[in-house]
Formats: sequence, C-alpha cells, structure tokens
Amino acid sequence: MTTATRLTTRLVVGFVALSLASFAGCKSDAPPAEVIQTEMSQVRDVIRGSVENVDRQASLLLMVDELEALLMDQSQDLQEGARALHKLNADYNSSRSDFERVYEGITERRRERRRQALDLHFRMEGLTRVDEWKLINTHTAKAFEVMPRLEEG
Amino acid sequence: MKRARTSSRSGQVLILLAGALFIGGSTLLTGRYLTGHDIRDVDKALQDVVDDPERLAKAREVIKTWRKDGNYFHKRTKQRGSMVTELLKSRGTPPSTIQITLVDMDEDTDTTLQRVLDYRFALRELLTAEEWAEVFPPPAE
Repeated sequence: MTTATRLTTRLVVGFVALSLASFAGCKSDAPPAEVIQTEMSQVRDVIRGSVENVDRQASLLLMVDELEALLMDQSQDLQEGARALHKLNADYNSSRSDFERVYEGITERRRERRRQALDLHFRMEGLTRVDEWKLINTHTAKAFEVMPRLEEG
Repeated sequence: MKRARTSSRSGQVLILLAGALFIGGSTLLTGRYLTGHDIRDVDKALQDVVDDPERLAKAREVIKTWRKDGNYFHKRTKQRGSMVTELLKSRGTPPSTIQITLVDMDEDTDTTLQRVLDYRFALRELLTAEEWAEVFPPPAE
C-alpha cells in the first residue's frame, strides 16, 4: 500500500469516528480527547503529504476539522451522559422518566452527529479516486469485524 | 516495533469509535453505561449484600436475563454493522439505502434501552434502599 493510499485510508476511516472510547472498554491509556487529537493530527499530516492537488487537499483538511469537532463533542457528551446516569442509578428514588430524559438527549445528539458524519462520508467519497475508495472500504470492513470483540474487552 | 504498537493501538481506538457511530455501542445499552459497573460485578455484589435467598435468587435471575439480552443485542448490532459496511463498500450507494438499515438499528436500540430500564427497575423492586446503596455506591464527584 502506498503512503498516499494508507493516509487516505486513515482519513476516511476516521470520518466514522464518534467516540465511545471513554467508557466502551477502550484499552488505550490516553484520555479520549487526546486520542482524537492525535488521530486527527496524523490524518492532517497524511493529507498534506499525499494529496498534491491544492483544492482537494484544502477541502479534505476542512472535513478533518469538522470530524474532529464532531468527535470531541460526542466524546464529551457521552462522558457527561455516563456521569448523569451513574448518579441517577445510585439514587434509589430516581424515576424512570429521569433516565429516559438523559437517554433521549444522548441518542438524539448522537444521531444528529451520525447524520453529519455520513454527510462527510459522501462528500469524501466524491473527492476520492476509485482505487483509494476500494482500500478505504476494506479497512472499514475490518474495523466492523473486530469492533464487538474490542468493546467486550 | 514501537511504531507498530502505537499504530495498532490507534487503530483499535478508531475501531471502537467507528462502532459508536453506526452500531451505537453495545455498552450504551448494557449495564456499564447505565450503572458504571460491569453486570458481572453487580451479580457478585448482590451475592455479598442480599441475605434473603428468595430475593437474591430473583435478583440474580434479573441479572441473568439482562446479560442474555445484552449479548443478543450485541450479536444483532454486529450483523447490522456488517450490513452497513457492505453498503458503504459499494461506491455510489445512495444515502437512502444506508438510512434504511440505520432506521432499523435505531428502532432496535430504542426498544433495548427501554428493556435495560425494565431490568434496572425490576432489580430495584427486589432490593432495599440500604442494599441498593451497597451494590451501587454513589459515584465519586
């Protein structure tokens, strides 16, 4: 795999990343925000080093900025949601509607971010060559195959 | 070697994150995200805390069903994740096609969230306030 395709792969795999890393059994010791920033920084380096077309490079970098913002927001949201739920759960007298309010907020915001990420996906697809796209999807497929096992870990 | 380990770890994080987007993250629907505790640890705590054999048996049955349901949900979301992957692999897949699978996943998630609450409140009915406080101590501020 060339550097260009490897880097492009990282970029587009990254687009799907909305973080549950704070509580999903993530084995990295680094805080989620740090992980996200590191990943996105690497993706930016890849784009700068591999996409020669100035316009395409600029567009992809803007998409990475959008992705990073989505990731950070989602990570923060999930951490706050988990704290709220743990507190409610510890209270013997919490009502069901208390939990439902928290769940609904998390779910609604996650789905909106998913919508935005999918929009990014299709925009990136439009900027990606056929050979790059094939590699990207191969990596995405591997990610889905391994994900459940890692979550259990 | 050091670079390879770092890359692998980063890849694992991305894998988790990818799952969170399309699959919803099974931990969101099982014990840990709701309670802050692994459901297996809750089962152990119940055995330490609840002295009444009849209530303990019923509480452990709730946990058993909760775990079973969580595992089943995990399998379903994995299957749906594979479906979404296949759709995404195909260049030119219309967004509306992916959306159909996501709507199915969302409906399943909503139903499962309600069942998780069913289990939580079924357990709550079986424990005293004192027992509850021991099994689920307040989180550190």
